[in-house]
Amino acid sequence: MSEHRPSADMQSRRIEQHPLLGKLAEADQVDITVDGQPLTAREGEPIAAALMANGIDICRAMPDSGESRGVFCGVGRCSDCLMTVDGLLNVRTCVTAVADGMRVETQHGLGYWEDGQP
Amino acid sequence: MSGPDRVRDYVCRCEEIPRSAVQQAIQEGNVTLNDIKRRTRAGMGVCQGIFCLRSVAEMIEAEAGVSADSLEPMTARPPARLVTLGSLAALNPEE
Amino acid sequence: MKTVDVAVVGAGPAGIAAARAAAESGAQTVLLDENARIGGQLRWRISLALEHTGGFDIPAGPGPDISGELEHQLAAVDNLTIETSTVAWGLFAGNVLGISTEDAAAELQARSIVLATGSTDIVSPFPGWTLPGVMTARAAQIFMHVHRVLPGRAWVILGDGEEAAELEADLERSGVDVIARCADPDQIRASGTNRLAHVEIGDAVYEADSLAIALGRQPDAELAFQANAAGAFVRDLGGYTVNRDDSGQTSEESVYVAGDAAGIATFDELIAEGRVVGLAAAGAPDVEIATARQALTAAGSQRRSNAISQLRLQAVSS
Ligand code: FES
Repeated sequence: MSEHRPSADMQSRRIEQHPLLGKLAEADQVDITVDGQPLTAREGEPIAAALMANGIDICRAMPDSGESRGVFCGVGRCSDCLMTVDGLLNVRTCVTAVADGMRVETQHGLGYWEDGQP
Repeated sequence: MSGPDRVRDYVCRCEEIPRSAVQQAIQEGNVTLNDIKRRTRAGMGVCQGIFCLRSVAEMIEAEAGVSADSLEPMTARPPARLVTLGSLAALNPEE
Repeated sequence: MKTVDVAVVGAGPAGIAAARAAAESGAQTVLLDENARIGGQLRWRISLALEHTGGFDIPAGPGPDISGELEHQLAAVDNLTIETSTVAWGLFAGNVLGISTEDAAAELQARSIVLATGSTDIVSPFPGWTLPGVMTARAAQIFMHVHRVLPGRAWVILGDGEEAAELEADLERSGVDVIARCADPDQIRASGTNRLAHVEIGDAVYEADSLAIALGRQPDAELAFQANAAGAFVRDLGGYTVNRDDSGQTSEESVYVAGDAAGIATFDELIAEGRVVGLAAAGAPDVEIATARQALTAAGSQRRSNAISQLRLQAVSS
């Protein structure tokens, strides 16, 4: 999905330094793929945070309208950040941590199981 | 895909219910939150109405003159969060 | 089914205070939270946390590990078990909670249940509010402060109350621009093809990649309503609110609510009220509860206590 490729001029969106919170702590790297594209995440962070840090703001396309949605509530309540993760549908990416080798995919509509059944 | 200027004026995000559908339901005489939910599906989504209940109440107040303060909340049903069916299947439903 | 004396749902300021009070008075207590770390709103409302962590004896200053400090303090409390990454999604007859971890569900029965489930951001629909880039103030705070990621660089804030001011200060600390603020949801319109690109406020058009809805917070006691607890809409408490007696008990016996979930409160009120409710839920001696109640009256705002009285009257008349 081209909409997922971070644009070349995108500055990092990581907040490395913060006047109250200090320097961002070191974290181990985790490799995931998003719609087939490789991407590096910080161990323990939610999938949506890893995506956002890499310039990806779109998680799903809605069933009725096909319109894009991204993080809205950030706390697992709204369902706008649902994606397909390792073949599992409807994963709330704002509250689900990344794991090494994870396959994250934009969810279209209600999504499809991997055997092709809706 | 939607065009750039398409106006997306939903009241209920989860179920993609437009403002016009809720207005129409109120005009048809649905003036409680549960009636609106049954008629339009607004509030039936994953958020259980937490992000639209208030707006629907305010619309009922504006369109039908029923004070939002006197409206009963939507019936709340479990689960309060999106939990996987697999994990729930392990439970004994009799309990 | 596992059974405990007191189960507290939500490990924010009120839930922590309740769980600690209950455990210290001798009740076997479980404190549940859906997040991986405890602290609730203290984790993302960092200006609040830094002003008020005195209530929890957390050293102030840059870079405090709020969750770590709270975990450390609670580790010293007897009779208390903390279960993080655990969602309480149902409350059934007989004081049974339906709970889930990432891969398993279980039931937990408690003699008393304290719901300290906090608040949810108030939102108001406007054209384009479903576009990626439009989010709640809380989402913006969580991504910046907990996950340390900037959702965007050019921001519009919808709202003109305390939450809007708090978020504006938070965004500035993260080094990004707030290009406009709008008080009225009826005056704002968002547009863009696949994500937010423009925000119209009245006749003015701004190029923006992010729009935060900061219209305030509403009590979130959904589990109490699942258990059929009575409530009403009270504007000064933030919205639909569950009705409670002086000990925080709802119309359903042994189901208590504490903190923002029972009406938006100040930090000092959250702590003081959590303590009252925790002691009552644990069946502590009346004198102890009375002392805690005095502390709550001292910490409490007139506005909230008036609103709570109004709620009781409304509940009686309906
Ligand atoms: S952003 Fe709302 S559920 Fe993830």
